[in-house]
Amino acid sequence: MNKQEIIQTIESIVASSLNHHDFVMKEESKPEEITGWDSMANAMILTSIEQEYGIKFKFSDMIAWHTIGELADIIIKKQG
Amino acid sequence: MKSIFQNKRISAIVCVLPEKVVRYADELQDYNFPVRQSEMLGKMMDYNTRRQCEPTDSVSEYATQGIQRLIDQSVIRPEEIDAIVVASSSQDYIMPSVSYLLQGHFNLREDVYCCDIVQQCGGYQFGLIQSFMLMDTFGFRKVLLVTGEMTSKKVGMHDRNARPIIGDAVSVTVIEPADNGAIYTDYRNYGQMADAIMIPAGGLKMPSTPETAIETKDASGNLRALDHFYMDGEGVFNFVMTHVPPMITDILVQSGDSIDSIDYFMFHQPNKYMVDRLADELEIPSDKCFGNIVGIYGNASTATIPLNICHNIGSIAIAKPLRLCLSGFGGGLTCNAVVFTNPQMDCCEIIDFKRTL
Repeated sequence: MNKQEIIQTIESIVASSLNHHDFVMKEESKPEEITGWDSMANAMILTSIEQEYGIKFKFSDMIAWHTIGELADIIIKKQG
Repeated sequence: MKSIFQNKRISAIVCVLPEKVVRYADELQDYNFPVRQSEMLGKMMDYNTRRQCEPTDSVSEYATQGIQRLIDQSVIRPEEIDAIVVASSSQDYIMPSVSYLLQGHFNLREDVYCCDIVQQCGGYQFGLIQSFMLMDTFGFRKVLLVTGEMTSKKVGMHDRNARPIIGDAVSVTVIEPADNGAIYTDYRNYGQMADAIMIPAGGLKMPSTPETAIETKDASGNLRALDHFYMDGEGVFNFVMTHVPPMITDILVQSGDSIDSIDYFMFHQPNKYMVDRLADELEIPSDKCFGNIVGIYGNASTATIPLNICHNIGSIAIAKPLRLCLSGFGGGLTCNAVVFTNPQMDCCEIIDFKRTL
């Protein structure tokens, strides 16, 4: 799976978790720019991503990204 | 602050719970979020049931039934109680302290040491440390540690961040001398983050007024008033994940333990998600660290670790000695840990509060 496909999957997970799709997901998008993406939503979104890709984030992974592109990079790295 | 105590055990715990069971699924309409989203959150966080006290219930009434249970089962005799330590934020009154109410109720000796310490989620370990110090200083042989909260009275009914996790419970723990060797303790405090978990109004600094009871919407759409319990979820999560794993690692080094040599890690449980993440971070196997208490009883702050012990390992703790690592973290902010071998316990049970007519 390439980075763009991963970003599309994240977009779908975020829309499902937040129950809206009032955003355009780009590589440079940040959680604070998306309505409803608070700490609770973040926990839901990251857990769903873990389930989707069969990976487990360490805490250092969870705080290491600021943009969706950086999150996608971590997923790629985790998948080995 | 690292300390080593010697030769003391937890000989008994009784947890007293409100009979009333509330269900997350019944309150989804109360929150300012789509029901489907709240359902997803509940599934991920394991929000199911919790125990909730009645408006006029008090910690001293629940503790009274716990102590009476210990007396009825011949675990303790009133005349041998040397001290009552209460670690809680749910005082019956601004004054007097709960410990005096209990001493008076049971007509205990005049020289029983009575002490209330205002504590939150790390309170069980602070209560143990306080009890150990009293035993070492005064030679006390039976200390009652009462922990427990009725925080549901202070949680906003429209607050989806706090209400689904908060439960009520009170525990009574008996601590006495034993021949079990060293008890390693550590606590670390971060008062700079005091406002991450707080009830802003209702104390002397900001008395409750009609204005402090008005709910307002926060940045994420959650509703809460200044009279209500507040937790900065993200801040607390980051605090726990940053500070607790190194503290646990340090204390295991100090005690000469490894993850393998500890039978059970009995952690405070703010919610299942945080406990699971913590266990993952420390690479603790899931059968040694439980995250199920909040989904069954709710998070009762100072009483969550005794509830965790009674619910998950009560029968084992009565059958054989266990090497335990207890760790609490939360309001303060604070985190702490105790590592020791606890000999077989005499009693470890959960009872429902019986309302007198």
